[in-house]
Amino acid sequence: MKFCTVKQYFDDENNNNVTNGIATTVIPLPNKHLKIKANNKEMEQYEQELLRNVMPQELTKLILAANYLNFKEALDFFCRTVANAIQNKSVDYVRKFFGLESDFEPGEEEKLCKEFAWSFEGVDED
Amino acid sequence: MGDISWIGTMSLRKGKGKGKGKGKGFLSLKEEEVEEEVKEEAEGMWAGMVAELLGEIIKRVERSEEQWPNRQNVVACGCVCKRWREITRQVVRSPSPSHISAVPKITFPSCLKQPGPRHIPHQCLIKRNKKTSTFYLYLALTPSFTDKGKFLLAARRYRHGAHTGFIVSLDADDLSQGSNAYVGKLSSDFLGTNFTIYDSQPPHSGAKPSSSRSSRRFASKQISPQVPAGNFEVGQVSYKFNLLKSRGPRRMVCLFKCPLPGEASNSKSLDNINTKKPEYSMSGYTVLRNKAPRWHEHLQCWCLNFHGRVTVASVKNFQLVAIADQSQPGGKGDEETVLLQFGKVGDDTFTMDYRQPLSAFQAFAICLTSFGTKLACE
Repeated sequence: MKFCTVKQYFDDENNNNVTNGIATTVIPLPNKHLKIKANNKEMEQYEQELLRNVMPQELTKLILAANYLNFKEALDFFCRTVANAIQNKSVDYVRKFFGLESDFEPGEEEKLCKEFAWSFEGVDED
Repeated sequence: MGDISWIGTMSLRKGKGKGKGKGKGFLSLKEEEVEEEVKEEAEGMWAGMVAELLGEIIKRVERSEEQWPNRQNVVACGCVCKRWREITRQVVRSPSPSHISAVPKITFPSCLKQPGPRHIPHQCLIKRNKKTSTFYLYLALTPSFTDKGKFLLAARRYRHGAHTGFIVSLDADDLSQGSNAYVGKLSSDFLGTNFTIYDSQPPHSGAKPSSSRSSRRFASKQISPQVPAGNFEVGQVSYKFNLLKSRGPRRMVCLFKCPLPGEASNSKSLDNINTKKPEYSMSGYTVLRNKAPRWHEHLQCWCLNFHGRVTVASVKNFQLVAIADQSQPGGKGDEETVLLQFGKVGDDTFTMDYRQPLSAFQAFAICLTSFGTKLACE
């Protein structure tokens, strides 16, 4: 089942250019998964290796590719990796990471600042 | 996003593999036309698809950051942009289905006005500052009574003639009605035995603000014009004293308009309800009273079982059960389950444990009345 979307993907002619890089990253995953099915730790290590060379912004492309290929395990892994990358980071960092801009009105923005400040207020430090 | 071949892949996904013919059609268009069409198609799909995938990312942030202070990261997700905010709010509202009894977690300040958990109460601490007549509510992060936890709300008691009142705020340093952080207030009658609880936000669509002097003054400082400013009456707390035994336990009755879980912020759902029913029955009333303590002949005192969460005897200590509970089938309360428990554990430290249908704000407000009644003897 994992391979039928892949087959269509190769059948469509003009997919060559940019997505090649993504394809080489994502497509070997199912094979590797089958080989290391029982051993989760080994799979984790393989995945860590894979991502060490990938730029953070590339991750969003990987997610879209995994989604397109209907590959749930890879999707879960890439989403978790992005989640880990944006945790404990400022709101501005997250915006830059995704190339987003704030579209809140000034009044809303002020309210959100207060809300954000509240989330830091009075939490016991260890 | 000038990467056209990448966008090109996205538009082909639309056909889900059936796009073979579509792909060929693409090739016959001129380059500029392709670019335009692909861009339009992709933007529409990109937005739709990304929302779902963004949700997957944010869900993973939410699930791994259940406890404060790390829960700040979920709040951060809600501050990125409007779409992120909407997705984050949805993720917070619907916890992972793998949880057996999904516990609503306090994430945004708005969660403070949402009902608490159904089964295991949220355990909180209230710290009193006698000098400044201020009270601080914290969500306990450890079982210890000396660790404060996550700050939730602050309140300041004021006396206006013979009336006692409290201002409740999200900001421990700004306890004024005109502030952005103003959440609600309480005011008592002349005797200090009846308190009215006001919410700064309408509890349901169509609610009208109370017409008091202070609410008209407040209206000029409103930040978002969409939300009507003012104070909305949402509940009452009454104390009745045991006249026969002056040191006997007092009786408390609380009346609340309780939104059902999920109803509060979604005013649209009220429109779908059978319009023949009168408005007041849609969001029902919840009536609570305090559980009567038992006289312990041997110890010569009134006793309630606080299960270790209250350690100092005080006339302020209480447990509330429901006579009427709109979150239960038939609207009937079981008069047994303790929905709010409040009691002393130190000179200026009190525990507050609350659960559905009460929200943190309502629970805090009820507990504050305990500090406001002048006829209490301790």
